[in-house]
Amino acid sequence: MSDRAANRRKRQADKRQGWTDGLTADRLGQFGIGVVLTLLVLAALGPVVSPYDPAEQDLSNRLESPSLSHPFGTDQLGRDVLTRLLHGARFSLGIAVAVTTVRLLVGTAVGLVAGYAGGWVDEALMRLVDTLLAFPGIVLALVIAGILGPSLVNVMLALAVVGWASYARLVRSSVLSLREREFVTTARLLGRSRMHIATRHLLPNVVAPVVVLATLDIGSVILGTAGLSFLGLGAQPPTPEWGTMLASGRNYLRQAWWLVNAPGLCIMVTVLGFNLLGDSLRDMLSPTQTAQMEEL
Amino acid sequence: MYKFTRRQALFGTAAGISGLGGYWLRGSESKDDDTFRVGSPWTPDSIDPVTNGWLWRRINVLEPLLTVDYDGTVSPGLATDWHMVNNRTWEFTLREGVTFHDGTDVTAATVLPSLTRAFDSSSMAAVPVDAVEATADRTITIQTAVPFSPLPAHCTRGITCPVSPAAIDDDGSVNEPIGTGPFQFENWEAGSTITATANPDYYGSGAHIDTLIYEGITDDQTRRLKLENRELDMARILPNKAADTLASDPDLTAHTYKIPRARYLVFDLDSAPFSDRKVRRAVMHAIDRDHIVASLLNGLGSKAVGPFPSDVTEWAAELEPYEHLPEKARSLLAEAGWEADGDSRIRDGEELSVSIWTYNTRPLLPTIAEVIQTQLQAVGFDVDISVMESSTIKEQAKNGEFDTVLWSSSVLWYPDPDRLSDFVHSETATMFSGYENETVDQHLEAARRTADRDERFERYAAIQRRIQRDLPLGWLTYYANVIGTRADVEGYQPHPIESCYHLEDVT
Repeated sequence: MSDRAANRRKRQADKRQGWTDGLTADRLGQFGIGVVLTLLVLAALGPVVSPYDPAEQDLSNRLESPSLSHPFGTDQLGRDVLTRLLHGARFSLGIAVAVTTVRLLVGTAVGLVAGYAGGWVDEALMRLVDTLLAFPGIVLALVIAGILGPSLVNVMLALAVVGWASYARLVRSSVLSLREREFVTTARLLGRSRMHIATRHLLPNVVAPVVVLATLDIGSVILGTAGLSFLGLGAQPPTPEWGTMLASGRNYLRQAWWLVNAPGLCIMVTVLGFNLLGDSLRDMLSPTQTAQMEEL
Repeated sequence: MYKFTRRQALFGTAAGISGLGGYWLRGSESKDDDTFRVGSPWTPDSIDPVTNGWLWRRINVLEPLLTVDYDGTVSPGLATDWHMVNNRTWEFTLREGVTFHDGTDVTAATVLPSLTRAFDSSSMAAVPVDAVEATADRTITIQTAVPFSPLPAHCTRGITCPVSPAAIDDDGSVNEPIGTGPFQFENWEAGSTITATANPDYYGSGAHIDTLIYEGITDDQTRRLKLENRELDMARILPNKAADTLASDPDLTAHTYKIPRARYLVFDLDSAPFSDRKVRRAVMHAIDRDHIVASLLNGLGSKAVGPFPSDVTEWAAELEPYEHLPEKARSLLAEAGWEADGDSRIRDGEELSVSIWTYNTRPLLPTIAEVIQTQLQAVGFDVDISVMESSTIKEQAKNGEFDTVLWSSSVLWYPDPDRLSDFVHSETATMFSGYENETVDQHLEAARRTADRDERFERYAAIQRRIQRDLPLGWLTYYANVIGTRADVEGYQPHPIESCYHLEDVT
């Protein structure tokens, strides 16, 4: 017994070693993780450190170009752009993580059920997934957000609704191949309940690809949120959300380039960071699954 | 599920950056001296005067019976004379020697089909015209159901512009805008451009340019860039900020002028908290309109007192303005039962919380809403802003509850103060405040019945004073338009009501 436990610990340690090794070897992955960590720190600390209030207007200081006191200039209402970006990072990251979590949970649950239950349940769920995947996500999200009315919560709902299908697909296909493996059969023969097999034996084996997909997904959620907010369906002024800032800055493109470039750059760097991180995670965790991931 | 692969993302970024770069590069397109290109926010969507006549009127392909003079008064157009025969009958005498672009003479008989079409259309439903008749070779008689003195003003609208009978198909649709103006229709591309050429047979002095190209360009920045790139000779309605930068370019000139257009708040009089007049007054005293004009509007435009800007039209009554007095706003709110509680205010356990609805096709509105939000917060309102489609706002505000809408519209797009009916008449108003006042209704109706200018002025002044007191709408600022032209464009004179650009005068 103790032997087995020791073995397991060793295996886990090896695995961890492999993780970190891979991550440090991959330059792009390092960059990605650096960006993400920096963002998290900035989002957490920035608003506390910044001397300005993101909603505080100073109409005598409108559209000031970048300077020492306002590194990214001020906007059309004299608000400090950097402060707003830092506050916006909280929104963007918070929303992205929340939406991705919802997508992941719903998608994984559906995929597990469909893959393990099989039969008409599988059929029904997968046709639903097919429908969702066939529909252009951003259009569907637009429709949902449009019907629900403009607000950040509705955008989150809309993005969560359209995005879970690819998780379901991924999980289902993994489960399909796993369910015929010996350890599952053994568990079944030992009289384990379906619930037990699904959560104890199948779930742990699909976590890795799901985590990779989620990391890659965060970037697209950030883009989606910014896009819908840019179209006026998301955050309402004066909320310092990146997409909203981009939309209102657009009117001042010629006078104040920083109003568009600063939030645009933020979105770009963030999405890039998450994508690079996701990529290298994928390469490390499941080289064999690369082809499968690419398909989704 | 939409998804960007990295390659797509990189490619998109690169394309975007190079696109932006291209945006700033000045085009070296050579300019044809006889062609004048004007860019405006409205796209040409129809050649039918009933739906899009105002646009064809603006570029002077079509002409109405009566026109609007530069001082905002009704003046001769295709009709040289007009008068009231009795209180329900008007007679218009047509100008002699005028032909449509296809050579047809302009007579009562040839003008009649267009006029009947226009007055029968749903857009003219508010104008109580009973019958339009050709009573003599050059005389048009219009009968109204009730005495209606604003009729001549409605006869200046683009929708009433006559087109040649040949242009009207058997099924009543218009196939070509064959009008009488100094420019004649050449061709058009629905939704983007119109090409018109000078009409050699024009009865007036005619156009100085050979070809006029109208481009509908919705985006402000694009219009402006096109002007700067010499792809346009005139760009209409630019952001206020552009006035300074255009002036600093020796090749370009900025024309700024005030127009009878206002930004205002429409309050919902049927639901708390704005059902209480004290709360509405508090809002008006809390807003610093001077500040908005000076900073956001770049000093162009002015703070609004009543519906009509007195420096543009004579119909403005003398009114008591609402000054920026935050202290007074606070005491008004306290009087209304909203007691201060920290930063907010509470009455019967409910917080003083309102939402402002506005739309972004007028880019400054959301920004102004944010300023108002801060200024209202300073006196204890809790304010949130919703930016929606203007059509959604109209629909939702008419059907359901709202608090207040920040809106912008022309206050005089036909030159008659009867326009106030749209704002405050208890039954015919298209604004959604729910205002009902018998005295106002009586004045509006009586002013329609009389043609006596002094009496009408007195009645409209009484209405303006009354709504200033009752505040179904809170007037915020008036507009100034910024028109950019190339510096070598001469002869352009901005028209206050803009029913016509009068580009025939430019050289």
